[in-house]
Amino acid sequence: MLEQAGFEESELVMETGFNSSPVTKGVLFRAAKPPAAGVWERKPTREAEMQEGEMEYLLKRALDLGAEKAKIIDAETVVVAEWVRWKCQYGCPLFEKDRFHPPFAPDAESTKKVLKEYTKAILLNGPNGQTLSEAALKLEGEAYHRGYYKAFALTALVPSGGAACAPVSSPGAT
Amino acid sequence: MENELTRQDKQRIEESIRGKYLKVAASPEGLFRYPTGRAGLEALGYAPDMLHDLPEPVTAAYCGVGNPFALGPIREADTVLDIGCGAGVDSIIAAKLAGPSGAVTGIDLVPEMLARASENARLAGVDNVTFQESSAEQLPFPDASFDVVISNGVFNLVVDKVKALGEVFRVLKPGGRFMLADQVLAGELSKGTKARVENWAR
Repeated sequence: MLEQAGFEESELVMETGFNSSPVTKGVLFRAAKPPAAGVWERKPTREAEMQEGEMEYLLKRALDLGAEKAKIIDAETVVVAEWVRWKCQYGCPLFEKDRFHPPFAPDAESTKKVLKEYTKAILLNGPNGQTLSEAALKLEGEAYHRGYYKAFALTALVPSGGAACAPVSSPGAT
Repeated sequence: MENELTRQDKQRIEESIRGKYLKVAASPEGLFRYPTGRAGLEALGYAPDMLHDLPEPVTAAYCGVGNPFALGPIREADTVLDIGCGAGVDSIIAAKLAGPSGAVTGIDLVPEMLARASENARLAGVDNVTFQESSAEQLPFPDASFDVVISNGVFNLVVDKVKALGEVFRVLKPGGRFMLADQVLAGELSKGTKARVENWAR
């Protein structure tokens, strides 16, 4: 029906869980009116928006939440390598301990595939893994509420005893 | 389906909508199957920074079915139309996001809801939002008037949805965005036109 009206990029984004009757369900839709080149200034694309005010706001929030540094990076620059898994498998006390570590954590191939679904990420840096993880999770929620519904925090390793494996940075993809 | 409805059917539907929302204007509490008021806003994931400075009587009037602001940003200086603004909670949030250089217009069929919306805007201290009585099927605005159109739980009540969506498309600027929270049918329709009309606004 949205396309029938002329909209482009119409999308059923999610169900809200607020159902007004047994035969209806709450949903979120979005759609865009196509730009008319040469008549109106074209609205920035979603990716362009991310490089403007909204992402700047999220960077500022990252610092407010406890990160020492925060930077926007291209998701394609995130390196995913198999050897990291081996290092965890042989010598890391957290191997098989929880879902954040091998063999339960996503493998390299699926991680590469998921990262290809993103264009930008926010790289957080700081000395405290737990603080970074909490910041990344809060930032994920705030990004979601600002329209970046794919936002997903890849958190630092925080369980006790994890110091040997804790990375110093935590990318929160948006 | 809409084509099967007579003019009298449409009038009865509009009367039932006005009747229901006359009560909602006083208080939505207990009139819906889902949480309303601040509990509804929080359950739907409205960002805390959108809610923290809204007075209690404003949040208490909320009865939306989704969070349209989760669908994209309202930018500073945006012009925003809120179709079926009800008590104006989403309009007020949009007005705060658009800032003093932006402008928000809320429309609704029910004068009592519009009065509540105006009072809520006053309580919230926003002066870049206006409210007016209008049907979604015939928007009283020139073409390409708005950067963003939002709506929350209203299109399911509109009789001629194709016409209303055409109006949204018309009043949006090229490149403008439509952010819609609503109800969709997930089961069987009531059998027969009479039952459908009677159940329309329930």
